[in-house]
Amino acid sequence: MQGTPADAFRALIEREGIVVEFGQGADGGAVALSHRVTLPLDTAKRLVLALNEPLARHAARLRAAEDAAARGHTPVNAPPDQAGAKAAQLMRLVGELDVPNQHERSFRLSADGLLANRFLLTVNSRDIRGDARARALAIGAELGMPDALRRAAQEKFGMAAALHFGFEGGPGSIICKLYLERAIPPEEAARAKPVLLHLAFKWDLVTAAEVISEYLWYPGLDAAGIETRLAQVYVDGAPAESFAIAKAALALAGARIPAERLQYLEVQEANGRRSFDLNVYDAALQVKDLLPLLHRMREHYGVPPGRVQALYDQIKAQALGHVAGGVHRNGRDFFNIYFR
Amino acid sequence: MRGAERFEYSTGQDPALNYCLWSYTRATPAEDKFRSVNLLYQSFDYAGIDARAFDIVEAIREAIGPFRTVFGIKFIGDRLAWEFYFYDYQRRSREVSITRVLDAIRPLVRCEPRPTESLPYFMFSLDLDHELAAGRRALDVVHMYVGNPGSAVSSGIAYAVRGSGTTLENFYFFFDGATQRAEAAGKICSSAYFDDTRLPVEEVLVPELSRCQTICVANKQTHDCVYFSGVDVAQLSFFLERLRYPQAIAGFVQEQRSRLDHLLFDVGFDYRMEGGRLKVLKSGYYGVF
Repeated sequence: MQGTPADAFRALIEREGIVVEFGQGADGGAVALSHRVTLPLDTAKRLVLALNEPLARHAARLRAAEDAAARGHTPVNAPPDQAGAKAAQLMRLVGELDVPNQHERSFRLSADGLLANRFLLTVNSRDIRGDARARALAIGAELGMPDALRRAAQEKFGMAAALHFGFEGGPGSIICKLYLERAIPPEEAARAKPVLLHLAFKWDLVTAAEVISEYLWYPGLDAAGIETRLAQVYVDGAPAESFAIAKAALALAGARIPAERLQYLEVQEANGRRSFDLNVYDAALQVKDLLPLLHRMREHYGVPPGRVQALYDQIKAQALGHVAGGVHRNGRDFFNIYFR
Repeated sequence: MRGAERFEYSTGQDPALNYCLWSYTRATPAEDKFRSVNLLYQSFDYAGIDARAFDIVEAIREAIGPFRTVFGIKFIGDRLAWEFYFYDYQRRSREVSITRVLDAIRPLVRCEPRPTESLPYFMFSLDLDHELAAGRRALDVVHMYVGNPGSAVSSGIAYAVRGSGTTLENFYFFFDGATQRAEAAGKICSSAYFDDTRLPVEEVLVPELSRCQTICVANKQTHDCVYFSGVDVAQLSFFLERLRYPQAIAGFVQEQRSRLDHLLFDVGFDYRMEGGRLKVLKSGYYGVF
């Protein structure tokens, strides 16, 4: 069999079959079609199904390509979209690991508005062929990871059962993140409260800020226990409405499953930020179940409703993953909502 | 979750569509104001309808996409009822079919009608009431609309499709609100249910509502009906007051006037003359979700 490269095609319907013509793109956007394949309908359908599986393995890389294609519509005179380019770069680099990954999106609501350009790509460390540490840190290096963070991540990498590559693009800020997640043995979860679950290395490509965050898991807390912890997050004049919303989110998830099955984390950072992360995936909620609380968050922060609605319309049927929130040292509070 | 907790807000991309899903030009920017579906949610709250009514709305929207369903909020005697309308002007090449919508709501509603998809209908509608939403009765009828070739104006014919068979229901005739008001008046007066020697036609062709985009006159089996399409929020308020809607309904529109002023609405009422007076049998106002 002779191999023939092709990077362009067109599909046609002809009588009872499907015709696919393959060729190569030329300068100026023209395509030179050179090969024509005629398929019966059932064969064409099997071909589509057969292509789905290998394409799924390259999903992250394809998303980067789609991003790049979308940016192709940018007006000629518009300034380059740095955040979009970095997001696409991260997706491409993780895609090049050529291992299965999970894509989890999120958005932030705060007094700064709606920030929706956020995502996490998660891979299992052991899936990475070769030196996982070197390959993961190489991705960090490509994305400008500061030396101090790289050294710290290198030292702690052995704890990582899973890696999360994070991205957050906003006005005046492009934050890249590398999370190392431990696999916690049940006996440790039973013994230690709290227990270190994630170590996160975060750096801002615009402001050069960097931070290492410890995500501490409080295993087995019941609803009252979580509420008590939340009260410690929202202390010292933190907005009562945010505390109330956080408690309402806990109640929403707790109405579906026992609170002990929710994973409650608190985040420790040297910058004085107090925050929590409530993993609610097991409650099998959808983003739309959170709608009344999204309205409250939006009103609390004075975010124009149309922008939130436009995002909500797209994601309302997605699985609700985490409700996170907290208060910066300066008293400004925020919520992050994760979904997939 | 109450309807008020589900309120939706217009985005910059929301289309402006009337009750025939024809687009119109907005008078003011829409972003951050109410979507018309909030009128539906508010009426659900007021009526205390079973929460499954919201699920039916979601199921339909998930099945056929946003802004493809017209809703009508009906005031009949002293109770509210609702109707959902679906359009696909591609007729036999339609994407939005009766079968597709019934399949979407079947997990929530028992559906008895057996549609014939080879018929050239361009529109159909489903009735919703407390009993149906609560699952205490089946959906027993789908109203199916076909064109009316031969009419001098845009026109349609409605049939009731039931499990037991199909029966003729109504005829609809559309007139341009700016240029064909006299023709609309002529149509209203050409009826067994209205005698313009005893009542002025303005009882039906209400002047405050006639300043609209389209007037539709319908001849039904036991009465007639008139619709005013493309009225603004002030006219909607006028309509709700004139037709004596519950204060919670009329008051909501009045209170939220500034959040509704980017929309045009559609209103209508069924009537016949009885004892020399006009009797309004039911009325409705419409929006899109």
